[in-house]
Amino acid sequence: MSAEAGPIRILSVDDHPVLRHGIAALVAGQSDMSLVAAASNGREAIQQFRAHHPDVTLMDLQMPEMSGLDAMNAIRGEFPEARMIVLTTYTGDVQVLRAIKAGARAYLLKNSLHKELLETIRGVHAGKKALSPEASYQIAEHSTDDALTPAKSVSCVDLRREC
Amino acid sequence: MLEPSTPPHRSQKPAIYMEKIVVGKTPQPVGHELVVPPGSHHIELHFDAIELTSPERVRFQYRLDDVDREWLDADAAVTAVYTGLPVGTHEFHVRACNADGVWDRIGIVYKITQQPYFYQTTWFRLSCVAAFLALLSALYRLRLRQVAQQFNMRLEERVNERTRIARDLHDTLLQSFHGLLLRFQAATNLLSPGEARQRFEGAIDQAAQAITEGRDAVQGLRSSTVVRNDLPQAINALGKELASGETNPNGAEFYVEVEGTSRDLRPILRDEVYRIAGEAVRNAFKHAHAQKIEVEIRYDDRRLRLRVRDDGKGIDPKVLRKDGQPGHYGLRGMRERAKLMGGKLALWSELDSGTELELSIPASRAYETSVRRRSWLVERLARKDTKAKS
Repeated sequence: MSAEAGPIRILSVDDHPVLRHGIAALVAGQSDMSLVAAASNGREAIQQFRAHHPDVTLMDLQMPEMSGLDAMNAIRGEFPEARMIVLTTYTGDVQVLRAIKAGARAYLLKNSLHKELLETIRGVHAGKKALSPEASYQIAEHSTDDALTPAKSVSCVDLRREC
Repeated sequence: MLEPSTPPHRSQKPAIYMEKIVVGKTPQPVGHELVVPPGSHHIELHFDAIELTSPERVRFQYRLDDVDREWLDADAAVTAVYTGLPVGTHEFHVRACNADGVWDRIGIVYKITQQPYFYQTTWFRLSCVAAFLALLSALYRLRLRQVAQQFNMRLEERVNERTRIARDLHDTLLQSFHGLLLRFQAATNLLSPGEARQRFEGAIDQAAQAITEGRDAVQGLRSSTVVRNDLPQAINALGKELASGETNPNGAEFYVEVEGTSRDLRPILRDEVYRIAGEAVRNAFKHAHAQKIEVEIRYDDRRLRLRVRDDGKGIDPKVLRKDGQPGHYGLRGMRERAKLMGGKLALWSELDSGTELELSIPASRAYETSVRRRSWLVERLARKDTKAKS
Protein backbone atom coordinates (compact mmCIF):
# COMPACT_ATOMS: atom_id res chain seq x y z
CA MET A 1 0.00 0.00 0.00
CA SER A 2 2.19 2.78 -1.19
CA ALA A 3 -0.22 5.63 -1.03
CA GLU A 4 2.35 8.33 -0.46
CA ALA A 5 1.98 9.51 -4.02
CA GLY A 6 -1.76 10.13 -4.19
CA PRO A 7 -4.21 11.42 -1.61
CA ILE A 8 -4.85 9.53 1.61
CA ARG A 9 -7.62 7.06 0.90
CA ILE A 10 -10.11 6.88 3.74
CA LEU A 11 -12.85 4.47 4.78
CA SER A 12 -15.30 5.84 7.32
CA VAL A 13 -17.37 3.43 9.42
CA ASP A 14 -20.20 4.77 11.54
CA ASP A 15 -23.83 3.81 11.90
CA HIS A 16 -25.01 7.42 11.97
CA PRO A 17 -25.50 8.88 8.51
CA VAL A 18 -25.23 12.46 9.77
CA LEU A 19 -21.83 11.75 11.26
CA ARG A 20 -20.69 10.03 8.08
CA HIS A 21 -21.82 13.00 6.04
CA GLY A 22 -19.98 15.31 8.39
CA ILE A 23 -16.77 13.37 8.01
CA ALA A 24 -17.26 13.28 4.24
CA ALA A 25 -17.75 17.04 4.15
CA LEU A 26 -14.68 17.69 6.25
CA VAL A 27 -12.50 15.35 4.20
CA ALA A 28 -13.83 16.66 0.91
CA GLY A 29 -12.30 20.05 1.61
CA GLN A 30 -8.81 18.57 1.89
CA SER A 31 -6.75 18.15 -1.21
CA ASP A 32 -4.52 15.46 0.28
CA MET A 33 -7.39 13.16 1.28
CA SER A 34 -10.23 11.35 -0.35
CA LEU A 35 -13.04 9.34 1.12
CA VAL A 36 -13.17 6.14 -0.87
CA ALA A 37 -15.91 4.29 0.98
CA ALA A 38 -18.27 4.37 3.92
CA ALA A 39 -19.90 1.62 5.96
CA SER A 40 -22.61 1.63 8.59
CA ASN A 41 -21.65 -1.49 10.51
CA GLY A 42 -18.78 -3.88 11.10
CA ARG A 43 -19.75 -6.36 8.46
CA GLU A 44 -19.97 -3.70 5.76
CA ALA A 45 -16.68 -2.30 6.97
CA ILE A 46 -14.90 -5.60 6.29
CA GLN A 47 -16.39 -5.81 2.79
CA GLN A 48 -15.49 -2.22 1.98
CA PHE A 49 -11.98 -2.70 3.27
CA ARG A 50 -11.47 -5.74 1.06
CA ALA A 51 -12.84 -3.84 -1.91
CA HIS A 52 -10.92 -0.59 -1.49
CA HIS A 53 -7.85 -1.23 0.67
CA PRO A 54 -8.03 2.23 2.27
CA ASP A 55 -4.96 3.81 3.80
CA VAL A 56 -6.79 4.89 6.95
CA THR A 57 -10.01 3.56 8.44
CA LEU A 58 -12.14 5.64 10.81
CA MET A 59 -13.97 3.17 13.02
CA ASP A 60 -16.88 3.85 15.37
CA LEU A 61 -16.95 1.34 18.18
CA GLN A 62 -20.64 1.16 18.99
CA MET A 63 -22.51 -0.16 16.04
CA PRO A 64 -25.36 -2.59 15.49
CA GLU A 65 -24.85 -6.05 14.00
CA MET A 66 -21.09 -6.12 14.33
CA SER A 67 -19.18 -3.88 16.66
CA GLY A 68 -16.21 -1.80 15.59
CA LEU A 69 -13.93 -3.86 17.77
CA ASP A 70 -14.92 -7.12 16.10
CA ALA A 71 -14.58 -5.59 12.68
CA MET A 72 -11.15 -4.24 13.59
CA ASN A 73 -9.96 -7.62 14.73
CA ALA A 74 -11.27 -9.24 11.57
CA ILE A 75 -9.69 -6.66 9.27
CA ARG A 76 -6.35 -6.70 11.03
CA GLY A 77 -6.39 -10.47 10.94
CA GLU A 78 -6.57 -10.24 7.16
CA PHE A 79 -4.58 -7.04 6.67
CA PRO A 80 -2.09 -6.63 9.53
CA GLU A 81 -0.93 -3.32 8.10
CA ALA A 82 -4.39 -1.73 8.26
CA ARG A 83 -4.29 1.64 9.97
CA MET A 84 -7.29 2.40 12.12
CA ILE A 85 -8.51 5.38 14.05
CA VAL A 86 -11.14 4.61 16.64
CA LEU A 87 -13.97 7.08 17.24
CA THR A 88 -15.76 7.17 20.55
CA THR A 89 -18.25 9.34 22.40
CA TYR A 90 -17.07 8.85 25.95
CA THR A 91 -13.83 9.39 27.73
CA GLY A 92 -12.93 6.36 29.75
CA ASP A 93 -14.62 4.01 27.34
CA VAL A 94 -13.29 0.57 28.21
CA GLN A 95 -13.65 -0.45 24.61
CA VAL A 96 -11.06 2.12 23.61
CA LEU A 97 -8.42 0.31 25.62
CA ARG A 98 -9.37 -2.95 23.96
CA ALA A 99 -9.26 -1.24 20.58
CA ILE A 100 -5.78 0.12 21.25
CA LYS A 101 -4.69 -3.32 22.34
CA ALA A 102 -6.19 -4.71 19.17
CA GLY A 103 -3.95 -2.42 17.13
CA ALA A 104 -5.77 0.86 16.66
CA ARG A 105 -3.26 3.59 15.81
CA ALA A 106 -5.23 6.36 17.44
CA TYR A 107 -8.48 7.18 19.01
CA LEU A 108 -10.52 10.35 18.91
CA LEU A 109 -13.39 11.68 20.92
CA LYS A 110 -16.25 12.57 18.65
CA ASN A 111 -16.58 16.04 20.13
CA SER A 112 -13.01 16.87 19.13
CA LEU A 113 -13.26 15.50 15.62
CA HIS A 114 -13.74 18.91 14.06
CA LYS A 115 -10.39 20.02 15.41
CA GLU A 116 -8.32 16.90 15.41
CA LEU A 117 -9.61 14.50 12.80
CA LEU A 118 -7.63 15.79 9.82
CA GLU A 119 -4.35 16.08 11.69
CA THR A 120 -4.80 12.63 13.17
CA ILE A 121 -5.49 11.12 9.77
CA ARG A 122 -2.32 12.68 8.42
CA GLY A 123 -0.33 11.57 11.43
CA VAL A 124 -1.54 7.99 11.32
CA HIS A 125 -0.99 7.84 7.58
CA ALA A 126 2.57 9.06 8.12
CA GLY A 127 3.07 6.07 10.39
CA LYS A 128 2.63 7.67 13.75
CA LYS A 129 0.90 5.95 16.52
CA ALA A 130 -1.12 8.50 18.43
CA LEU A 131 -4.08 8.86 20.64
CA SER A 132 -4.60 12.43 19.64
CA PRO A 133 -2.39 14.81 17.63
CA GLU A 134 -0.44 16.28 20.53
CA ALA A 135 -1.15 13.46 22.92
CA SER A 136 1.41 11.22 24.45
CA TYR A 137 2.52 8.24 22.49
CA GLN A 138 3.22 6.63 25.81
CA ILE A 139 -0.13 5.01 26.22
CA ALA A 140 -0.19 3.36 22.88
CA GLU A 141 3.24 1.94 23.59
CA HIS A 142 2.18 0.74 27.01
CA SER A 143 -0.95 -0.82 25.72
CA THR A 144 0.93 -3.11 23.40
CA ASP A 145 3.40 -4.14 26.12
CA ASP A 146 1.06 -6.16 28.20
CA ALA A 147 -2.46 -6.38 29.39
CA LEU A 148 -3.73 -3.07 30.62
CA THR A 149 -4.29 -2.83 34.30
CA PRO A 150 -6.93 -0.56 35.81
CA ALA A 151 -4.17 1.70 37.10
CA LYS A 152 -3.00 2.37 33.58
CA SER A 153 -6.50 3.01 32.41
CA VAL A 154 -6.76 5.72 35.05
CA SER A 155 -3.56 7.33 33.87
CA CYS A 156 -4.99 7.16 30.39
CA VAL A 157 -8.00 9.16 31.51
CA ASP A 158 -5.72 11.74 33.09
CA LEU A 159 -3.63 12.13 30.01
CA ARG A 160 -6.66 12.57 27.88
CA ARG A 161 -7.86 15.38 30.05
CA GLU A 162 -4.74 17.29 29.30
CA CYS A 163 -5.07 17.07 25.60
CA MET B 1 -95.48 -43.70 128.50
CA LEU B 2 -93.55 -44.66 125.58
CA GLU B 3 -94.73 -43.58 122.17
CA PRO B 4 -93.51 -45.91 119.52
CA SER B 5 -93.80 -43.24 116.88
CA THR B 6 -91.65 -40.87 118.85
CA PRO B 7 -88.01 -41.36 118.03
CA PRO B 8 -85.55 -41.25 120.84
CA HIS B 9 -82.87 -39.17 119.02
CA ARG B 10 -84.54 -36.51 117.02
CA SER B 11 -81.53 -34.56 116.06
CA GLN B 12 -79.85 -37.41 114.21
CA LYS B 13 -78.60 -36.65 110.74
CA PRO B 14 -80.05 -38.61 107.87
CA ALA B 15 -77.32 -40.62 106.14
CA ILE B 16 -77.45 -39.58 102.50
CA TYR B 17 -76.07 -41.78 99.74
CA MET B 18 -76.02 -41.93 95.98
CA GLU B 19 -78.33 -44.67 95.02
CA LYS B 20 -78.21 -45.01 91.28
CA ILE B 21 -76.71 -43.26 88.34
CA VAL B 22 -77.91 -43.45 84.77
CA VAL B 23 -76.02 -41.92 81.88
CA GLY B 24 -78.21 -41.92 78.81
CA LYS B 25 -80.04 -45.17 79.35
CA THR B 26 -77.16 -47.05 80.86
CA PRO B 27 -76.94 -47.42 84.62
CA GLN B 28 -73.46 -46.73 85.89
CA PRO B 29 -71.76 -48.04 88.99
CA VAL B 30 -71.96 -45.35 91.62
CA GLY B 31 -68.45 -45.47 93.10
CA HIS B 32 -66.79 -42.31 94.43
CA GLU B 33 -67.19 -40.22 91.37
CA LEU B 34 -68.67 -40.21 87.91
CA VAL B 35 -66.71 -39.69 84.74
CA VAL B 36 -68.84 -38.86 81.70
CA PRO B 37 -67.32 -39.43 78.25
CA PRO B 38 -67.17 -36.54 75.72
CA GLY B 39 -70.45 -35.37 74.30
CA SER B 40 -73.75 -34.29 75.69
CA HIS B 41 -75.57 -36.89 77.76
CA HIS B 42 -78.71 -37.19 79.77
CA ILE B 43 -77.62 -37.86 83.32
CA GLU B 44 -79.86 -38.99 86.15
CA LEU B 45 -78.56 -38.94 89.69
CA HIS B 46 -80.68 -40.86 92.17
CA PHE B 47 -79.97 -40.36 95.80
CA ASP B 48 -81.62 -41.30 99.04
CA ALA B 49 -81.10 -41.24 102.79
CA ILE B 50 -81.44 -43.57 105.67
CA GLU B 51 -83.67 -42.09 108.28
CA LEU B 52 -84.98 -44.66 110.64
CA THR B 53 -87.39 -42.64 112.65
CA SER B 54 -89.61 -41.03 110.11
CA PRO B 55 -88.36 -41.57 106.55
CA GLU B 56 -91.51 -40.06 105.12
CA ARG B 57 -90.63 -36.67 106.52
CA VAL B 58 -87.18 -36.49 105.07
CA ARG B 59 -86.77 -33.80 102.40
CA PHE B 60 -83.83 -33.32 100.07
CA GLN B 61 -82.08 -30.47 98.37
CA TYR B 62 -79.33 -30.73 95.77
CA ARG B 63 -77.02 -28.47 93.91
CA LEU B 64 -74.45 -29.00 91.15
CA ASP B 65 -71.63 -26.48 91.21
CA ASP B 66 -71.17 -24.45 88.03
CA VAL B 67 -74.73 -25.37 86.96
CA ASP B 68 -77.19 -24.60 89.77
CA ARG B 69 -77.01 -21.25 91.41
CA GLU B 70 -78.90 -22.31 94.50
CA TRP B 71 -80.14 -25.35 96.30
CA LEU B 72 -82.99 -27.08 94.51
CA ASP B 73 -85.72 -29.04 96.23
CA ALA B 74 -85.82 -32.64 95.17
CA ASP B 75 -89.14 -34.07 94.11
CA ALA B 76 -90.63 -37.32 95.30
CA ALA B 77 -88.47 -39.31 92.89
CA VAL B 78 -85.32 -37.94 94.65
CA THR B 79 -83.58 -37.62 91.35
CA ALA B 80 -81.54 -34.84 89.79
CA VAL B 81 -81.49 -34.74 86.01
CA TYR B 82 -78.87 -32.90 83.92
CA THR B 83 -78.17 -32.68 80.22
CA GLY B 84 -75.21 -31.01 78.65
CA LEU B 85 -72.84 -30.69 81.54
CA PRO B 86 -70.08 -28.14 81.14
CA VAL B 87 -66.66 -29.62 80.58
CA GLY B 88 -64.65 -30.15 83.75
CA THR B 89 -65.06 -31.54 87.22
CA HIS B 90 -68.03 -30.41 89.28
CA GLU B 91 -69.20 -31.15 92.76
CA PHE B 92 -72.69 -32.44 93.24
CA HIS B 93 -74.05 -31.61 96.70
CA VAL B 94 -77.02 -33.30 98.36
CA ARG B 95 -78.36 -32.37 101.73
CA ALA B 96 -81.39 -33.44 103.66
CA CYS B 97 -83.45 -32.35 106.62
CA ASN B 98 -84.55 -34.73 109.32
CA ALA B 99 -87.91 -35.21 110.81
CA ASP B 100 -87.49 -32.12 112.94
CA GLY B 101 -86.93 -30.02 109.84
CA VAL B 102 -83.27 -29.39 110.70
CA TRP B 103 -81.15 -29.08 107.55
CA ASP B 104 -77.85 -30.73 107.38
CA ARG B 105 -75.59 -27.92 106.33
CA ILE B 106 -72.97 -29.90 104.47
CA GLY B 107 -74.59 -33.02 103.16
CA ILE B 108 -72.58 -35.20 100.82
CA VAL B 109 -70.36 -34.30 97.89
CA TYR B 110 -70.12 -36.41 94.77
CA LYS B 111 -67.73 -35.57 91.97
CA ILE B 112 -68.83 -35.57 88.37
CA THR B 113 -66.35 -35.07 85.56
CA GLN B 114 -67.48 -34.26 82.04
CA GLN B 115 -64.69 -35.21 79.66
CA PRO B 116 -64.14 -32.78 76.75
CA TYR B 117 -63.95 -33.42 73.04
CA PHE B 118 -60.48 -32.54 71.74
CA TYR B 119 -61.78 -29.27 70.39
CA GLN B 120 -63.04 -28.31 73.77
CA THR B 121 -59.64 -28.55 75.40
CA THR B 122 -57.62 -25.48 76.36
CA TRP B 123 -54.52 -26.48 74.39
CA PHE B 124 -56.60 -26.89 71.31
CA ARG B 125 -58.06 -23.43 71.67
CA LEU B 126 -54.65 -21.96 72.34
CA SER B 127 -53.22 -23.60 69.27
CA CYS B 128 -56.17 -22.25 67.28
CA VAL B 129 -55.28 -18.77 68.43
CA ALA B 130 -51.61 -19.41 67.61
CA ALA B 131 -52.50 -20.71 64.16
CA PHE B 132 -54.65 -17.67 63.54
CA LEU B 133 -51.87 -15.34 64.56
CA ALA B 134 -49.42 -17.24 62.38
CA LEU B 135 -51.83 -16.90 59.47
CA LEU B 136 -52.14 -13.19 60.09
CA SER B 137 -48.40 -12.71 60.16
CA ALA B 138 -48.01 -14.80 57.01
CA LEU B 139 -50.59 -12.62 55.27
CA TYR B 140 -48.80 -9.55 56.50
CA ARG B 141 -45.48 -10.76 55.17
CA LEU B 142 -47.06 -11.73 51.88
CA ARG B 143 -48.49 -8.26 51.54
CA LEU B 144 -45.17 -6.75 52.47
CA ARG B 145 -43.47 -8.77 49.78
CA GLN B 146 -46.10 -7.74 47.26
CA VAL B 147 -45.58 -4.11 48.09
CA ALA B 148 -41.81 -4.52 47.84
CA GLN B 149 -42.24 -6.21 44.48
CA GLN B 150 -44.45 -3.44 43.20
CA PHE B 151 -41.93 -0.95 44.44
CA ASN B 152 -39.12 -2.74 42.64
CA MET B 153 -41.15 -2.98 39.49
CA ARG B 154 -41.88 0.71 39.53
CA LEU B 155 -38.25 1.53 40.13
CA GLU B 156 -37.18 -0.87 37.43
CA GLU B 157 -39.60 0.74 35.02
CA ARG B 158 -38.17 4.12 35.78
CA VAL B 159 -34.63 2.90 35.34
CA ASN B 160 -35.53 1.21 32.07
CA GLU B 161 -37.26 4.27 30.77
CA ARG B 162 -34.37 6.47 31.74
CA THR B 163 -31.95 4.11 30.06
CA ARG B 164 -34.05 4.14 26.93
CA ILE B 165 -34.16 7.93 26.85
CA ALA B 166 -30.42 8.07 27.40
CA ARG B 167 -29.80 5.60 24.64
CA ASP B 168 -32.04 7.50 22.25
CA LEU B 169 -30.35 10.78 23.04
CA HIS B 170 -26.93 9.26 22.68
CA ASP B 171 -27.62 7.27 19.56
CA THR B 172 -29.45 9.89 17.57
CA LEU B 173 -29.27 13.43 18.80
CA LEU B 174 -25.67 13.56 19.98
CA GLN B 175 -24.32 11.70 16.99
CA SER B 176 -26.19 13.97 14.64
CA PHE B 177 -24.80 17.01 16.40
CA HIS B 178 -21.29 15.64 16.02
CA GLY B 179 -21.90 15.14 12.35
CA LEU B 180 -23.34 18.63 11.89
CA LEU B 181 -20.36 20.14 13.68
CA LEU B 182 -18.08 18.44 11.22
CA ARG B 183 -20.00 19.93 8.32
CA PHE B 184 -19.81 23.37 9.87
CA GLN B 185 -16.10 22.86 10.29
CA ALA B 186 -15.78 21.75 6.69
CA ALA B 187 -17.60 24.88 5.55
CA THR B 188 -15.49 27.04 7.84
CA ASN B 189 -12.33 25.53 6.37
CA LEU B 190 -13.37 26.97 3.04
CA LEU B 191 -13.23 30.48 4.42
CA SER B 192 -10.04 32.41 4.06
CA PRO B 193 -8.36 33.20 7.39
CA GLY B 194 -9.96 36.26 8.91
CA GLU B 195 -12.45 37.42 11.45
CA ALA B 196 -15.38 35.50 9.98
CA ARG B 197 -13.47 32.25 10.14
CA GLN B 198 -12.35 32.92 13.70
CA ARG B 199 -15.89 33.59 14.79
CA PHE B 200 -17.14 30.43 13.17
CA GLU B 201 -14.42 28.42 14.84
CA GLY B 202 -15.28 29.94 18.20
CA ALA B 203 -18.92 29.09 17.71
CA ILE B 204 -18.07 25.52 16.71
CA ASP B 205 -15.90 25.13 19.79
CA GLN B 206 -18.73 26.30 21.98
CA ALA B 207 -21.16 23.97 20.27
CA ALA B 208 -18.73 21.10 20.85
CA GLN B 209 -18.59 22.03 24.51
CA ALA B 210 -22.38 22.06 24.71
CA ILE B 211 -22.46 18.61 23.16
CA THR B 212 -19.93 17.44 25.73
CA GLU B 213 -22.15 18.68 28.51
CA GLY B 214 -25.13 16.98 26.96
CA ARG B 215 -23.13 13.82 26.59
CA ASP B 216 -22.12 13.87 30.25
CA ALA B 217 -25.72 14.40 31.31
CA VAL B 218 -26.76 11.47 29.17
CA GLN B 219 -23.98 9.37 30.61
CA GLY B 220 -25.39 10.19 34.03
CA LEU B 221 -28.72 8.82 32.92
CA ARG B 222 -27.33 5.55 31.73
CA SER B 223 -27.64 2.56 33.96
CA SER B 224 -24.47 0.94 32.77
CA THR B 225 -22.31 3.38 34.70
CA VAL B 226 -21.78 1.07 37.61
CA VAL B 227 -21.05 -2.48 36.76
CA ARG B 228 -21.45 -5.37 39.08
CA ASN B 229 -20.60 -4.77 42.69
CA ASP B 230 -17.88 -2.20 42.28
CA LEU B 231 -19.55 0.74 43.93
CA PRO B 232 -16.43 1.68 45.90
CA GLN B 233 -14.31 1.41 42.78
CA ALA B 234 -16.74 3.44 40.73
CA ILE B 235 -16.89 6.17 43.36
CA ASN B 236 -13.14 6.07 43.69
CA ALA B 237 -12.68 6.47 39.95
CA LEU B 238 -15.09 9.39 39.88
CA GLY B 239 -13.43 11.06 42.85
CA LYS B 240 -9.95 10.59 41.43
CA GLU B 241 -11.03 12.05 38.14
CA LEU B 242 -12.60 15.03 39.84
CA ALA B 243 -9.53 15.45 42.03
CA SER B 244 -7.21 15.56 39.05
CA GLY B 245 -9.26 17.96 36.98
CA GLU B 246 -9.87 21.65 36.84
CA THR B 247 -12.86 20.98 39.11
CA ASN B 248 -10.44 20.76 41.99
CA PRO B 249 -8.82 24.19 42.37
CA ASN B 250 -8.03 23.63 46.05
CA GLY B 251 -6.22 20.36 45.51
CA ALA B 252 -8.51 18.53 47.89
CA GLU B 253 -7.49 14.98 48.69
CA PHE B 254 -9.96 12.22 48.07
CA TYR B 255 -10.37 8.93 49.92
CA VAL B 256 -12.77 6.03 49.78
CA GLU B 257 -13.06 3.82 52.80
CA VAL B 258 -14.94 0.52 52.87
CA GLU B 259 -16.11 -1.11 56.06
CA GLY B 260 -17.49 -4.60 56.29
CA THR B 261 -17.42 -7.19 53.56
CA SER B 262 -18.48 -5.82 50.23
CA ARG B 263 -21.88 -7.06 49.13
CA ASP B 264 -23.71 -7.16 45.82
CA LEU B 265 -26.23 -4.39 45.62
CA ARG B 266 -29.51 -4.78 43.83
CA PRO B 267 -28.99 -3.66 40.25
CA ILE B 268 -31.77 -1.12 40.35
CA LEU B 269 -30.35 0.53 43.44
CA ARG B 270 -26.73 0.42 42.38
CA ASP B 271 -27.06 3.31 39.99
CA GLU B 272 -29.13 5.38 42.35
CA VAL B 273 -26.62 4.96 45.15
CA TYR B 274 -23.79 5.76 42.79
CA ARG B 275 -25.61 8.80 41.50
CA ILE B 276 -26.30 10.19 44.97
CA ALA B 277 -22.71 9.56 46.01
CA GLY B 278 -21.48 11.12 42.79
CA GLU B 279 -23.59 14.19 43.26
CA ALA B 280 -22.42 14.59 46.83
CA VAL B 281 -18.77 14.19 45.84
CA ARG B 282 -19.19 16.60 42.96
CA ASN B 283 -20.80 19.12 45.30
CA ALA B 284 -17.92 18.74 47.72
CA PHE B 285 -15.33 19.40 45.00
CA LYS B 286 -17.32 22.24 43.51
CA HIS B 287 -18.61 24.17 46.48
CA ALA B 288 -16.93 23.09 49.68
CA HIS B 289 -13.38 24.44 49.23
CA ALA B 290 -12.29 21.42 51.21
CA GLN B 291 -8.83 20.04 51.95
CA LYS B 292 -10.10 16.53 52.35
CA ILE B 293 -13.09 14.71 50.92
CA GLU B 294 -13.92 11.30 52.25
CA VAL B 295 -16.41 8.66 51.23
CA GLU B 296 -17.17 5.90 53.66
CA ILE B 297 -19.13 2.87 52.54
CA ARG B 298 -20.28 0.52 55.20
CA TYR B 299 -21.82 -2.84 54.36
CA ASP B 300 -23.76 -3.54 57.50
CA ASP B 301 -25.92 -6.60 58.11
CA ARG B 302 -28.86 -4.33 58.71
CA ARG B 303 -28.23 -1.57 56.21
CA LEU B 304 -25.98 -0.11 53.63
CA ARG B 305 -24.53 3.16 54.78
CA LEU B 306 -22.73 5.66 52.67
CA ARG B 307 -21.18 8.82 54.02
CA VAL B 308 -19.61 11.67 52.14
CA ARG B 309 -17.63 14.03 54.33
CA ASP B 310 -15.60 17.12 53.70
CA ASP B 311 -13.78 19.62 55.86
CA GLY B 312 -14.79 22.57 53.74
CA LYS B 313 -16.70 25.72 54.35
CA GLY B 314 -20.03 24.04 54.98
CA ILE B 315 -23.43 24.93 53.64
CA ASP B 316 -25.27 28.04 54.69
CA PRO B 317 -28.07 27.06 57.07
CA LYS B 318 -30.49 29.13 54.98
CA VAL B 319 -29.75 26.96 51.99
CA LEU B 320 -30.16 23.85 54.06
CA ARG B 321 -33.54 24.98 55.28
CA LYS B 322 -34.69 25.71 51.78
CA ASP B 323 -33.61 22.20 50.88
CA GLY B 324 -31.21 23.30 48.26
CA GLN B 325 -31.36 26.10 45.78
CA PRO B 326 -32.70 25.04 42.46
CA GLY B 327 -29.95 23.51 40.40
CA HIS B 328 -27.45 24.16 43.13
CA TYR B 329 -26.84 21.38 45.57
CA GLY B 330 -29.49 19.08 44.21
CA LEU B 331 -30.39 18.15 47.74
CA ARG B 332 -34.04 17.75 47.02
CA GLY B 333 -33.36 15.39 44.17
CA MET B 334 -31.05 13.33 46.34
CA ARG B 335 -33.65 13.16 49.09
CA GLU B 336 -36.30 12.04 46.66
CA ARG B 337 -34.05 9.37 45.24
CA ALA B 338 -33.18 8.13 48.70
CA LYS B 339 -36.83 8.00 49.67
CA LEU B 340 -37.74 6.11 46.54
CA MET B 341 -35.16 3.51 47.43
CA GLY B 342 -36.67 3.14 50.88
CA GLY B 343 -33.64 4.76 52.39
CA LYS B 344 -32.88 7.87 54.31
CA LEU B 345 -30.71 10.82 53.53
CA ALA B 346 -29.34 13.00 56.27
CA LEU B 347 -27.14 16.03 56.00
CA TRP B 348 -25.16 17.83 58.64
CA SER B 349 -23.39 21.01 57.95
CA GLU B 350 -22.19 24.09 59.69
CA LEU B 351 -20.44 27.08 58.26
CA ASP B 352 -16.67 26.54 58.35
CA SER B 353 -16.88 23.05 59.78
CA GLY B 354 -17.59 20.93 56.77
CA THR B 355 -20.48 18.91 55.52
CA GLU B 356 -21.48 15.33 56.04
CA LEU B 357 -24.09 13.53 54.05
CA GLU B 358 -25.35 10.12 55.07
CA LEU B 359 -27.39 7.76 52.97
CA SER B 360 -28.68 4.63 54.62
CA ILE B 361 -30.76 1.91 53.02
CA PRO B 362 -32.15 -1.09 54.89
CA ALA B 363 -30.46 -4.39 54.06
CA SER B 364 -33.64 -5.94 52.67
CA ARG B 365 -33.81 -3.22 50.05
CA ALA B 366 -30.15 -2.77 49.39
CA TYR B 367 -28.57 -6.17 48.99
CA GLU B 368 -28.98 -8.69 46.24
CA THR B 369 -29.35 -11.59 48.65
CA SER B 370 -30.25 -10.94 52.23
CA VAL B 371 -27.91 -12.37 54.84
CA ARG B 372 -28.82 -15.50 56.66
CA ARG B 373 -30.58 -14.03 59.60
CA ARG B 374 -28.91 -14.36 62.91
CA SER B 375 -31.22 -14.79 65.81
CA TRP B 376 -31.99 -11.83 67.94
CA LEU B 377 -30.10 -13.31 70.85
CA VAL B 378 -26.95 -14.09 68.89
CA GLU B 379 -27.05 -10.58 67.51
CA ARG B 380 -27.29 -9.05 70.94
CA LEU B 381 -24.54 -11.21 72.31
CA ALA B 382 -22.32 -10.31 69.39
CA ARG B 383 -22.97 -6.66 69.97
CA LYS B 384 -22.25 -6.91 73.65
CA ASP B 385 -19.05 -8.67 72.79
CA THR B 386 -17.84 -5.95 70.48
CA LYS B 387 -18.85 -3.32 72.99
CA ALA B 388 -16.88 -5.07 75.68
CA LYS B 389 -13.85 -5.22 73.44
CA SER B 390 -13.92 -1.59 72.43
